[in-house]
Amino acid sequence: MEQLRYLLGVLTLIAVGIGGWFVFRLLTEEQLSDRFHVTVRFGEAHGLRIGADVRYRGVRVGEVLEVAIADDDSNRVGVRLAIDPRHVPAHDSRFWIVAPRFEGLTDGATGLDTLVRDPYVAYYTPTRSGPELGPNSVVIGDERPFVDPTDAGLEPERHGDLRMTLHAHETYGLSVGDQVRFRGICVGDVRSVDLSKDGDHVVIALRITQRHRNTVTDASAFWVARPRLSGALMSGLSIDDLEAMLSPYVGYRTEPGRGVPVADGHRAIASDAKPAVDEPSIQVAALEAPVDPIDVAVDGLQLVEVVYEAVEQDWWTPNDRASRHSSGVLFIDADGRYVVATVRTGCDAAFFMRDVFSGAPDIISESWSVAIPGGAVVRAGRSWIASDKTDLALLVLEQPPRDLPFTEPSRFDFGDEPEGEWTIRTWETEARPFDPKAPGPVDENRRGAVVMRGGRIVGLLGQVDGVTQEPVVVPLQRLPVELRPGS
Amino acid sequence: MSSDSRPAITFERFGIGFSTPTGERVILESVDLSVEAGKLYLLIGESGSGKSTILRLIAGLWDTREPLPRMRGKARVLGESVRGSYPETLRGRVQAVLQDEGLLDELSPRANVELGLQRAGRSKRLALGLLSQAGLDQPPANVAELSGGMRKRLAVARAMAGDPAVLVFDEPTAGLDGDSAREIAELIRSTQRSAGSARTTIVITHDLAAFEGLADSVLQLDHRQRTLRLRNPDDPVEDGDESTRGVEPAPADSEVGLHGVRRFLLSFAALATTVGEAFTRAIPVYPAIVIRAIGRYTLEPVFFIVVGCATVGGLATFFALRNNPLEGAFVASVLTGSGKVLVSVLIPLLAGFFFTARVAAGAAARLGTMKRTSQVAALRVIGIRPADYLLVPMVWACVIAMPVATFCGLVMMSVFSCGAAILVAGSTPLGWARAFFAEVDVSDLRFVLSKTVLSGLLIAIQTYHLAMGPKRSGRDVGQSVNSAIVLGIYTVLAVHAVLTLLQFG
Repeated sequence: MEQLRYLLGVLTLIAVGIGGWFVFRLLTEEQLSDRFHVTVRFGEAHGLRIGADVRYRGVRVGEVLEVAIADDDSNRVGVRLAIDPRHVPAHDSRFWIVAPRFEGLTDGATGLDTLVRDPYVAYYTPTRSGPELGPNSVVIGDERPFVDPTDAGLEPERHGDLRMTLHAHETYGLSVGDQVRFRGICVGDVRSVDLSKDGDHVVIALRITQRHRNTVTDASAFWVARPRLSGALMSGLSIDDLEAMLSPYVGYRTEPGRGVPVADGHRAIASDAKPAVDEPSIQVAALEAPVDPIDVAVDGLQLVEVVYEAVEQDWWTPNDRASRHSSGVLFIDADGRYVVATVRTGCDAAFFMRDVFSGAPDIISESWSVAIPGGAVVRAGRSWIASDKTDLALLVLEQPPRDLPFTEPSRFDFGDEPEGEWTIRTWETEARPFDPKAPGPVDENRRGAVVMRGGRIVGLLGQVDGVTQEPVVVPLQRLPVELRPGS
Repeated sequence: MSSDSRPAITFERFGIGFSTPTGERVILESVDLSVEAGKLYLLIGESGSGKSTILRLIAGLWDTREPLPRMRGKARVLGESVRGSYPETLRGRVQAVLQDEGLLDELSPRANVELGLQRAGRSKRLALGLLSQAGLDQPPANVAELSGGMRKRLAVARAMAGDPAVLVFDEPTAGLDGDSAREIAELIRSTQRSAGSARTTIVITHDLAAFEGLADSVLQLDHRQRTLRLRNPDDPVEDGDESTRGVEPAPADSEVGLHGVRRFLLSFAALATTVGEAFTRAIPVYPAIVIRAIGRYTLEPVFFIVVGCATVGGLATFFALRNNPLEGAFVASVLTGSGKVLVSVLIPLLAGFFFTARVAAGAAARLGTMKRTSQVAALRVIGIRPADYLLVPMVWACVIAMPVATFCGLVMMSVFSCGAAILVAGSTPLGWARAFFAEVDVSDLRFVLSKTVLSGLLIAIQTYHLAMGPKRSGRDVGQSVNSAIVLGIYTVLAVHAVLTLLQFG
């Protein structure tokens, strides 16, 4: 009987212990660990505070856990967010800080609600979005509020696009969404049309796509296209720009070799009519030169070196540091962002490290940079990891240099069985013959190397999983369709 | 009526002892004894020889927080084994008049006797007769007014109310002068005689003179030889005492078994038992006591609570409006924020603190004193579960009084907050109410109710548990009062923190 009382005492003690532990967990924000964590990097925090809202389409879905200067880059602010797992952002979600801003006459003021409340983080996920972000991803946020393009039926503005304003006497029927044309090719669109402050002209905001922004120089001449009758009875009548009757557009002309490319915020005056210029004949040499020699690497392939560093926290032993170098392939995704496809064993310590006590590693800091052959080193964030154990990940470049060459979409092959010779290539070596049945070791020199067949990229050299160092060709077919180049 | 020739108490090769930090302390070893029913026995032995242990064995007064003594062989009372857990069927049939009587001092002397009658299923009208029989024809209204001798008489009357088959007295003449002692001894003899063979009376005493010529037999407890034997009351007594002279006195019973992890575990077992009893015996056996407790626990703290809440509500609103950085603007927003935090968090927390400081401290002091003065043991002897008489009324009282008192605090806080808003911002009562309660909804009230009910329940259980621990001195009682306040406040904090987190986290 008395033994039973001791047993009851022990059981009560255990029950009290378990109860106390649950209360402790509850009180030490353990419940927050169910939330989805993501770090977004911004150039400026705009007074954002810990505990501020994270909003999706205006609805609070999470909170800001931490605002701090990034460990590995003192020019950036890392904002750590905890988001309701039902609203996990996608890899193409856009993050920005909502704070009071005056964007100029044309864009008006935004974030006025934060005059009377704290700034908050908002994000936008397109309706047809890509796969969800992996937990603890580091992504790059937008410095300006992202405008939901579905509201005005506009294309989303992308990183690197030229934003400029045009000043004209009147709109000539121009409206938001109309085209901007260069030599007849659509290179951008009209974002807003508004009366100037003093009312003596109109201000037209333009967006020129990143691909074509170098066609605008400080010597470019702009006009608002409208039908125009010219000539006299004697010489006969001619109607210019008849097409503009149906849909007005903005045109410009840049004399070859004149002027320098302009920066964002460029202002230009639009003339009322297309300048009458006699175009010089096309140089014969153009027939021989590559069609577009600026944007694409010489052989259409841009391999880069991915440099990764991480610190894993150990409770009882000194912290472990990981430093890896690997190859990756640089391309432009559907959103116009510079993306590097590489292996997880080269950019995700949680994948390849193991805790001393064989638990999940506790990664406390990570940094990624991408070295581009030729010297430039660009910081990057990890935007996607394969959800299974596939050794595949994507990094997004934070501030890519203008006109950075990238791999042509045609150099990728997502088909099942391409034909041709197998070759392997890293960021620093030329293509060498490769036997997929005997891939050889995965080391610092070959990790993430591009495996090609018939000259087209089919996969990367990676590992079977994070810990087994057995080499395997990770097929790029595992990349979700939305994330593939040029999709 | 157990008037058969069956012996009242039998020991067969019975041994009993305690394990102490310094080793085993044996009281009896291999005792074979049969105590015949229907007689008056004196149980004698030197101090610390184990007389009280034998009383606790016969009456089942082991403290559940102390390790049980080690026992061997067989020990039976009225034919039932008292080794291990005490049989509930013996409760009431075996009564004891303890050395400090254990009179319930919150009841009148008559009510004390009536409680015993009620437990035994007898008519309360017998109370006056029993008191008169014990020599208390006109008892005073309060137990506190009784003299030492009268207290003994009242204890006898209450013990008689249960019509016990075995009645044990622990030092009934201690502290009385010779005449009074003789009167009590004669009263005991007369009660034994009136019951005849239906009752066996055992008197633990040192005062052989008072009982001279009254006892039928003597039970001699020999500490040196660890035996208990019967002898004739007329035999000379000295030899036993002479032989033990010079021997180191045995430690007192209360000093044994206090050591180590075992006691710690038993304390947690007792906590589990208390929690279990709070729920399994929740239906009140004594509704009148429950209702009285609810009234007392509500009225005692409510004054402090309303004053405290009125002060906090008035000051919070006053300073919130007064120090509004956007002078004059957003008065409604300031009031809405103040209203939400005051109603759903601050006032319930404050009321919980006041309630704990007032009620838990009072209850711990009262129950601790009852434990210290053997009133709790007396309840068990009468056959009343302390859980029914003390715990359940306290649980009901705390669970009901805490929300009621908190509600009173909320009302008073609202009145003073409204006053402050009128004073500082020139609000109207209606405007104040609209803004102040704009964000307060049913879910807030539900959470306030949950917080107060849960903290009330926990405070009742932990205060009872602390008060029922071993109480050897006034210092122990004082410590249990301190612990009840400190732990109670932590409990209120924890309950509020967890539920607030659940609500808003």
